Amino acid sequence: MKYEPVIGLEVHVQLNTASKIFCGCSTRFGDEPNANTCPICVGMPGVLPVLNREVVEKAVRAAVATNCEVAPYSRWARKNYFYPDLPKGYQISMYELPLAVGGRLEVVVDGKPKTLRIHRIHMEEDAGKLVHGENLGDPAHSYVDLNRAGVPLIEIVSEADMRSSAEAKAYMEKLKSILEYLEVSDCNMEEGSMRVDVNISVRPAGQEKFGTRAEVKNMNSFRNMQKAIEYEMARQSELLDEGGRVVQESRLWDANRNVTVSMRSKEEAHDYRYFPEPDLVPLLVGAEWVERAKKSLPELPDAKRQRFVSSYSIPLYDAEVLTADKPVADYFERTVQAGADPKTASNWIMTEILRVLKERGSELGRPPISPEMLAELLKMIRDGVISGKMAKDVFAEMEATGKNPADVVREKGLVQISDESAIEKSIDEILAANPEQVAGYKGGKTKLMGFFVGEVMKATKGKANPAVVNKILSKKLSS
Amino acid sequence: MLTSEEALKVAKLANLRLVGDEVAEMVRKLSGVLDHINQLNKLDTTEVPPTSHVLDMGNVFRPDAVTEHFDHKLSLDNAPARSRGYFSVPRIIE
Repeated sequence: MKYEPVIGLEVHVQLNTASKIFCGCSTRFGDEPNANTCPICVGMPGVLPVLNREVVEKAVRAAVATNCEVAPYSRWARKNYFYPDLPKGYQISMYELPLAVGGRLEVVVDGKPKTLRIHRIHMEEDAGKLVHGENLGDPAHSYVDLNRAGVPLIEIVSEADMRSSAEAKAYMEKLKSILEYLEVSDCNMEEGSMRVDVNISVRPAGQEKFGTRAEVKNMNSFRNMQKAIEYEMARQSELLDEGGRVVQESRLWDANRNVTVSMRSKEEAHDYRYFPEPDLVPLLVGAEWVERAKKSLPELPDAKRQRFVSSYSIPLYDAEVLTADKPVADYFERTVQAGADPKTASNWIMTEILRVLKERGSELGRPPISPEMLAELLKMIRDGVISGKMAKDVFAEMEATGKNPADVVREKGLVQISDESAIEKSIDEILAANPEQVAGYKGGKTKLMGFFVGEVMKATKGKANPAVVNKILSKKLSS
Repeated sequence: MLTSEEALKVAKLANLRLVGDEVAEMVRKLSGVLDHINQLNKLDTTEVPPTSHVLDMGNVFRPDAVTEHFDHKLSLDNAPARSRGYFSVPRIIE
């Protein structure tokens, strides 16, 4: 039978505040274990959490940027469960009265626009980190680092609107892009500052009622999330085809084996017995606060994309690629401001600059090649100083050394020969040396043009301006 | 009246081990609490706004500033077991 998947995503995002959500400990990543801890975040009896205002500020910005309705009155709750990474035996979260509800993201999948709804956004504290014994000496133990305990999180819960792994990926990309634009989170999936849990069920195509869902955790990249979704779609469809049934459970993605496995240990823990957190007073985010947050929003990806199309006359596809990452979008604008033609700049950024970034894994914050340098390079092509092909070599040298394009061109003696008399002299020599090919060309073998161009390039060590070479050759051969 | 199974389930979720007479005692005490709540449930509260907190206030904040009033090494001092700066616990199997 043919099945359709129904997918919802729960995304946890660490907010990039300096201090934790309920105490003054640093949120810095990578410190000595338990260096950033105090009686509050290790859960000593009798201590009181006090809410970090900046956490609310950033969460509200995320909520309005994703078109959510911010609640005028929200409340903290205790989510009770026992696990060694949770020192208090409960996580301070929000339950019945979350911060915001009812948002949406606009995505484009396979050229078709689609609205994916957000169910709710709430704030909570992160748990600590467990290190398994074999990585630290004693396999009989696990070790607990509470530096992460109390780091602020927002949980963004989608509606079950997605019908393919590609739609899930588009949702994640758009969400990540918006949160990066807002500068409220690093959104680094490998480091865990952005984490996604997938709720997925399948149903026979055409059926209205949802099937039983499984929850999949532990995917540290969009690629793995897509693979996990596709694995679950196949697993659940096969189960149903064989007359079995899907069990509601949590499953773990195993990236080494490309499978999901049941997490039996967590099954019993689902009775969280939420109740209102007595240590924290209610949160009142009034209309004025929401208005202020809306006014403080930067230009978001969708708006920037539209502006790139209308102001720079670049194709929608280019605008989509360039605006996905704010630093890349900024890089493009600075290159154009430095005098580059928008479409040429777009082509180079989408290929060379994005390739360099991918290879180096470096952020554009420390650009290997500044927008001004790229603009200068593109200007040299436009002015005919170097050919497009030479420019690739110059770029490679700039990438390796960080030198200015003009310096690279001078040092390598790459300056293009556009002087017509010099090129004409070279062409005359080549035509004189190859009478057979000249006769052949004149007899109709026009493909020989490539041979002549090649010979001229060889003779000039690739420095001749191809446009000039073509022009003179055509003239000479047709006479 | 709570059943002893229900009392044992709640105890398990709360990480408590009840033995012998403790089960019956917990059934009696928890049932008493529930009876009290049921009594409150009989009141008509349609006109009473829900109470989220006993204090009539909201929006208590601190600024986003890192403070170190506390030697973090003390964090580990009460732990029954520790190693290399970590809290040490029995192995957790996933």
